[in-house]
Amino acid sequence: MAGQALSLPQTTIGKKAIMAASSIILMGFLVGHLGGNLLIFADNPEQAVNAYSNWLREFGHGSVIWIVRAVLIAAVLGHIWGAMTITARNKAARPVGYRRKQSLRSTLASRTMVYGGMAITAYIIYHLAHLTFHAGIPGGFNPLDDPAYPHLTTNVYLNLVESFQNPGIVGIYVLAQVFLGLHLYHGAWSFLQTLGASHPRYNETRKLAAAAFAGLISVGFILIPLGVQFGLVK
Amino acid sequence: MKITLHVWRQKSAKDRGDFETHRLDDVSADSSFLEMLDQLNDGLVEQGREPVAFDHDCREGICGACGMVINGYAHGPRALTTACQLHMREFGDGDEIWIEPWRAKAFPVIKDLAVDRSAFDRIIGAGGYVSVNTGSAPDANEIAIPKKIADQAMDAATCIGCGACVAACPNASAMLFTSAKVSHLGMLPQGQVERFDRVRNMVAQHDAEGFGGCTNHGECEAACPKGISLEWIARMNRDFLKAMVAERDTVSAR
Amino acid sequence: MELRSNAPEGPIETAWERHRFDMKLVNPANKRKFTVLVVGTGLAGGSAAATLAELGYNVKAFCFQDSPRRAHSIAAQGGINAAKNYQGDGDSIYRLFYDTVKGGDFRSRERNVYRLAQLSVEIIDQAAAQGVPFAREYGGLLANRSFGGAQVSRTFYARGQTGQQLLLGCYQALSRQIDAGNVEMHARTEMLELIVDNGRARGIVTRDLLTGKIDTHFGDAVILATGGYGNAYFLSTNAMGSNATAAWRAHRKGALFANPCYTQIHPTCIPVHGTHQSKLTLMSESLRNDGRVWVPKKKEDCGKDPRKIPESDRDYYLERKYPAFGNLVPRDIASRSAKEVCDEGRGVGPEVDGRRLGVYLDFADAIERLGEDAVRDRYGNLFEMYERITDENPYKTPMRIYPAVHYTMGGLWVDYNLQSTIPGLFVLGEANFSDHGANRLGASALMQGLADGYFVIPYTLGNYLGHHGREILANTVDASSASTKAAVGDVEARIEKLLGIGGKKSPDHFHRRLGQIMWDKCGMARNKAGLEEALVEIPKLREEFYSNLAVPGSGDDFNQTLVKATRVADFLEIGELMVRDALNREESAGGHFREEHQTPEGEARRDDENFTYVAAWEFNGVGVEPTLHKEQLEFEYVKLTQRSYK
Ligand SMILES: Cc1cc2nc3c(=O)[nH]c(=O)nc-3n(C[C@H](O)[C@H](O)[C@H](O)COP(=O)(O)OP(=O)(O)OC[C@H]3O[C@@H](n4cnc5c(N)ncnc54)[C@H](O)[C@@H]3O)c2cc1C
Ligand code: HEM
Ligand code: SF4
Ligand code: FES
Repeated sequence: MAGQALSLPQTTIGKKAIMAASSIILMGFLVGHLGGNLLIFADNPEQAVNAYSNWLREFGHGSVIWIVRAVLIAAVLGHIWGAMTITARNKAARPVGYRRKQSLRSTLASRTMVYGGMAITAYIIYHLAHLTFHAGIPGGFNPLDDPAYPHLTTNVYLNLVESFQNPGIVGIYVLAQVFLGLHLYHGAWSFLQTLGASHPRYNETRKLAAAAFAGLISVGFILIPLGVQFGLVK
Repeated sequence: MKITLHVWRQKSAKDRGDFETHRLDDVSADSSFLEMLDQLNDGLVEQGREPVAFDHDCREGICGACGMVINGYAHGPRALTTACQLHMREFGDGDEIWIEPWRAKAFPVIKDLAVDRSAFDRIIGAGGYVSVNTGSAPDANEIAIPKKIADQAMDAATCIGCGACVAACPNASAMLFTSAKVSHLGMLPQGQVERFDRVRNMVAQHDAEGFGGCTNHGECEAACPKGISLEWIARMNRDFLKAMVAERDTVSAR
Repeated sequence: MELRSNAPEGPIETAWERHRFDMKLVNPANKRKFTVLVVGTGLAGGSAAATLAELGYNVKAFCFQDSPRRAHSIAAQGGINAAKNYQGDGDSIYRLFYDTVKGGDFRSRERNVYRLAQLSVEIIDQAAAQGVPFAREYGGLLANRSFGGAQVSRTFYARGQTGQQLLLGCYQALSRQIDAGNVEMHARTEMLELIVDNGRARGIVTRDLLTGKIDTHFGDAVILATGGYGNAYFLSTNAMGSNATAAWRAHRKGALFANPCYTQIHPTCIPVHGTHQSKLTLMSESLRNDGRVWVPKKKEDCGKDPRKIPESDRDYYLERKYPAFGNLVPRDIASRSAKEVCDEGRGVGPEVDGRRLGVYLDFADAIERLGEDAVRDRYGNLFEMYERITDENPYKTPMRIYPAVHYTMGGLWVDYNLQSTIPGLFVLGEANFSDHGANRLGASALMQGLADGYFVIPYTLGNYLGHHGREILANTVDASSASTKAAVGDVEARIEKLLGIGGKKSPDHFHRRLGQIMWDKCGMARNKAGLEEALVEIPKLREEFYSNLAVPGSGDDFNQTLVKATRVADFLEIGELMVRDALNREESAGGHFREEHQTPEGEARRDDENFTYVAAWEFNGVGVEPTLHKEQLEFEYVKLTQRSYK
């Protein structure tokens, strides 16, 4: 039965496996990204953050970041494709809904995965536009237009600090992290289940670890805009 | 006790259907839920009206024929209990009770509360067996099976094929049902030879029937009257991915 | 008509083997030319359909449930017997044979029973190979328990769900054949008539329960495996849909009906709670291993809280009457004793229709002796089930139990080849009368159904087709045959009639009343006067049924009331035959207890001189006295003795 692996994406389990595999990449990225970003709480944040971002850009003569970006884009696209097709399938599987329906075990998080996902998508676009491509964000801070900062494109630290003076932007970031946290609260145990990584002895731990992971990631990210906003960043 | 029922009435698969309201004035708290429906139906028949259609047979919670969503819960509010084993004492005097059929594309409504679950039979037909012709079996004690494995296989094998898992699942997925059979046979030595073909074919049939995919909500496990565990879905996923990605045909020595 | 068992002569140990050798075979290429209709897909029918398809026959199978997996066999709890002697406790094929003949109160055919005991061994092998998760010991080998009065541990089980697991094994084998295209499965399809052409069973008339379509199916042989007729009593432990229609219609077409009065009443069921009760729930017999049965000595105490009744005011009547076996006496004795004390007015539990019908099954001593945990370990799931139904906690207050109709030993008469008196009509499982005599031992119905389906019919059907196949193939029967037209016309007329009565009462109403008559007059204890009354009451009820029945809706959709009505119509006829048989059998044997025939101590008394025969009845018309045919039973191996459990 050669080639059956190619039909994997057509199966319900296959779609979920693709989502789970891609989410591993994305979660890995989140960990790395958060680690890097938390440098903002270092003793000399400007130097630490910028050195880190420069290192990222120049590592392997600038090729590595593109490889990483390609992988991330593929992961995001794969994840979104999986999400869209499985959601469409699942909606179609119940054409007539219930008048009354009670939930026993599902959580807010599990029921809102797709909405959380869409919010994350929107956020990713905003986030990239904001800090990577520096596109004009209404009501936001666009450093490229500011002659006072000629070298700002590479001063990631200043980008952050300046933007997070704006409570609106902080609000958007915080909200996005809440969505992310919720997404991961379900997602981070769900991907193990999807991939069949289960064992009765560890299944309870699996859930706790996922919740802890979701909490750490979203709180970690939230600390950054809030830290700036409340002047905790030097 | 007195109760008010809002029962889903639908003449056929093509009909749109709607709720119909009935009042029953003297329901015994010791009656089972289905005996309460019998009482309603007897009254309807005596008035020359068509009774509410619903499937049932053993009324002991083992045949899997009965099933309806009662006040938003598949098989009603009591855990680990089929509709036929639910008793009216679970409800209060004067309660309103909403009764709907299992709802899923793969379970078309036949009439009122009765649905067509033949999709389950086809999933089993796709591979939920051990291919052993009558008469060719070795002595039953030839293969020893650790008690723990046999017990776990039995846990999975207790599925009664009622479909509550599908009804309760927000995605109308039948993964709990499918995984119970995949795991029951996949755990036993007798089921090893066909283990990977089985999971591949059963999942393919599950998908072809139009059930949704599992997104790990866990509603099925909570609704299942036999306590079939989500663990079996994880196990099935594992086997399925091994079968598809590693393209395993039969089990290796592992 | 002379009834010939066609059992091989000679030593019983080799009878089946010799018979198998003597039977004709159908070669594989020819098997494809034959179509076999299998009605019923419980253990008996499902195993037959799967096996015949594996062998290469074209099989069409039918069941009235929405899936073959839901046949009533699924409900069997306790286990299945087999003479494996894995425990090394002295079991053997001969002992299982002996126990079954004795347990059946010497009213079964020795050679059939011997074969059953032989085949029991293979059933377990087959089931294990299918992946049936039988209970195991820590060493990984199969576990056994003792059951129903047997002195050896020969019962194999899968928790309290043995029937379920065996049926699923069989259903899976069947599903494999359906998927392979070898079996054409018709679920939600009820057989309403048999087509007999040129003296042979050649087809059936069915009704599609969803669309109401009346259809015909033709084959070269017809197998009925449609279960028992216990629901003639309305309340029983049988599934709601269990019915006698298929067997009864075959009987009307000429198949003799054997021993209809042999009914098994199971002692440990949950008592009736009220007038809306629709069925009764069995509690496993194993409860009697540790529970003590009692009622109050004084009538005045019957309504009291049992825990407040002092030891000295309790009557542990089984222990008192049967000191040797105590609470473990066989089913029929335990049942009858419960009825006696309740008839004396010493029953317990809530009053239903002014009577208390229940006795206590008390675990207080067991809990004290073993601890609550040990009791929970053994019976936890049963206690839970009891509590779910009655809302009483059996750890705290004694359970209440009462006997209920459970199994019918009678059924269509078959010879050693499981062929009825209509050539080409074979009958398997509970639907035939074959192996249990007047009383069935626990855990032996599953064994019989599977032996019939997996291991007997594949050979005997081949023999039939081997002998008569050519003639059968040469005589085409189809929709235009006169026999078909008559059968279809009959079914259509019946349905039209039921739909057209336009009365006031539901089929259940009549069923309930029939059940009451049957239970009161042809139940645990029967007497001449009562039976004669029943013979007047049943025809009257039947008349009322046909003048005051209400069946709303039409005949061409999913009309459950109509389905029920067709079944009740047949129960109203078979009930009468059961009564007639009970009246004819002037002795007490197994499940048939005639009050006139008891020892001074109140034990059943057989009359071997006059009644060592199978009573096989021939239909002569509704309300017309049937003709009795006798198959004499011979006991060459097991000596006739009076059972004693003192
Ligand atoms: C509660 C309970 C517990 C039991 N426990 C045990 C036990 O522990 N051990 C034991 O050995 N025995 C036990 N028995 C007895 C045993 O379960 C049955 O005798 C046995 O399963 C009967 O099997 P069968 O295949 O003959 O019939 P069934 O399983 O009753 O199957 C009948 C089949 O015929 C079909 N059918 C019926 N009428 C028609 C029709 N008109 N048209 C089309 N199809 C039709 C049905 O759809 C079904 O498929 C128990 C019985 C009960 C009620
Ligand atoms: C930082 C980015 C993201 C991470 C870390 C992430 C992580 C995860 C994880 C771990 C899962 C569980 C997978 C499984 O059970 O197999 C998941 C599921 C899901 N994701 Fe994401 N995700 C991200 C972005 C997105 C985006 C952009 C979408 C866009 C729509 C999305 C939509 C979904 C949906 C709908 C599910 C639910 C599917 C299911 O539960 O089976 N996610 N995600
Ligand atoms: S898994 Fe549970 S809910 Fe689903 S069909 Fe089986 S018994 Fe019913
Ligand atoms: S009727 Fe059999 S499980 Fe409910």
